[in-house]
Amino acid sequence: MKSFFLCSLLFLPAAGKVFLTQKQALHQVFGKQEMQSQTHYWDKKQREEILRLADANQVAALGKEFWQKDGRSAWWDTRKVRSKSQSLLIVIDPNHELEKILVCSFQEPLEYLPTSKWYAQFEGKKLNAKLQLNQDIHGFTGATLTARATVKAVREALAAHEVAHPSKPKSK
Amino acid sequence: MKLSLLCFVVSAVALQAQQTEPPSNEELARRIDLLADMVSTPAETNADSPFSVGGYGEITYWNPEQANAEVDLHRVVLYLGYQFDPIWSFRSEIELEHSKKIEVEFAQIEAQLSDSMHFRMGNLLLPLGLTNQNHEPTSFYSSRRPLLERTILPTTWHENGVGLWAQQGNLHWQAYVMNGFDAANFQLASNGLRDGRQGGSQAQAENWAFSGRLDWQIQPNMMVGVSAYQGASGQGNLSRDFGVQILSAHATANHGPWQMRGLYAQASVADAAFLPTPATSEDLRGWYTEVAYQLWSQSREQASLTPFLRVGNLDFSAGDGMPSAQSLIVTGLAWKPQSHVVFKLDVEFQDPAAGPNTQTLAFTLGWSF
Repeated sequence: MKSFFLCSLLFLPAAGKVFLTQKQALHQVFGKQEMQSQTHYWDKKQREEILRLADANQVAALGKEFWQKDGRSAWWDTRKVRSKSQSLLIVIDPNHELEKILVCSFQEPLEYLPTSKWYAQFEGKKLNAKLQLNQDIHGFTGATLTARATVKAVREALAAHEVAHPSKPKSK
Repeated sequence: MKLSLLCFVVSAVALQAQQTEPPSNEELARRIDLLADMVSTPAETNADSPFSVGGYGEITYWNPEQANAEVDLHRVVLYLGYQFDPIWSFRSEIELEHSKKIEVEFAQIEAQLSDSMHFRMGNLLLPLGLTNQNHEPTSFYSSRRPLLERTILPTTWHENGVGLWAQQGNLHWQAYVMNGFDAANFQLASNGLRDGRQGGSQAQAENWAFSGRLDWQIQPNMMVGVSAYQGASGQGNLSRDFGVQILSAHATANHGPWQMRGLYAQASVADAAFLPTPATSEDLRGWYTEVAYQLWSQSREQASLTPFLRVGNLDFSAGDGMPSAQSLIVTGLAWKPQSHVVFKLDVEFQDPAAGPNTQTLAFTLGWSF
């Protein structure tokens, strides 16, 4: 328990514009039901597969996943937008479709944060070639870098989920 | 940092041990290597820094049909920000223009008053039009900023002032009080309002102005908005106040690879006939609409190739009964080999009501980070 607390602390966003702590975000997603978590240490083959699926140049060496028995999973993602980071909790349903995105922290100036309607357009989307800006995802005027970082985060989360749980529907 | 890394390794390993078989020594060594890689990446170490560093720049070649060609290191800009605490922050852009003139493009202190409301004071970008507050070369397609937004809405337009901005649901608004134009320098008939800017540099402050903006995000891919400016510009040095009024409306929309934007602006300068450089009309007016199609894109590098077409009209002497409007067409290509670098090639056709048509070929290398 103590070790889990330490681990959680290290995944918390840095001080700044924190809208939700990781614990609050998880509570919003999973409620009071029992939840489990796992840190995935990707091996070389898995990372190559995530790179391929996400169509990315670079992906994280490990992934932090939270899940419930109903098959829903949430992936924590922290990445740089311009020179500051944002932290998202990306929720994926049992059909490997994106359920929702919670913006937990945003360290860039808040005028570069898109509206909730913009984030809502990801809901129900699956990982495919069209899941990118100016295709299935509309850009957001004045917050292009945030939009790009968010699309990257979503693609990587969906790819990581696919690698971690290749069979569908997922059941744990 | 080392302590954090150690704590993380210990906790992660302990957690893993509770769930599964203890990992082998080789597996532990591999995981420590992975964690060390993560900690040492610049993206992670900068995440907690109060400093923000960025920048943009552009070098432009243009070749007008009836004048000599020119190539110019138009601007190199360094963005620097500092987050004092969760509420107070500083942001600035310092520009080296034409590789010799140094100018502050903005320098402001900002405070977050509530979840939605923000206070801003300092040298501020005025909130009018589509380009003034989003002027990085990677955010528009043409080699040069739209002519309407270099004259009637004269980017980069920044003055000293104070105000508020807020994001409330799908509405975003800004309201500021700033030092006004200096009417002594207006060249309305040839350059619109551009020469009246003071830039906040030893600015005359006898006359102040209000500027405001309201944007409505109708859908994730559609935004409409209006902006306005009102203030005198005589600054106590001239015989009259020369009140300036600007009204502007804008819209952006995109659908898949299609992107559209439009802007209308009208301005008036009271008693323009009595300016040091008199104008025959008090009214200026212009509009443009632009459509772009992302012909090719690649997710990995976020590369794209986008042809675009912009049509518009500009009139620095509207309403004086003389033929003075000029129609403008700009068409070309913007190629981004990756999202921070853009190569632009376009041609601009100007068709003035009086005088010959002109065309200008332009090429720009732009970057932003």
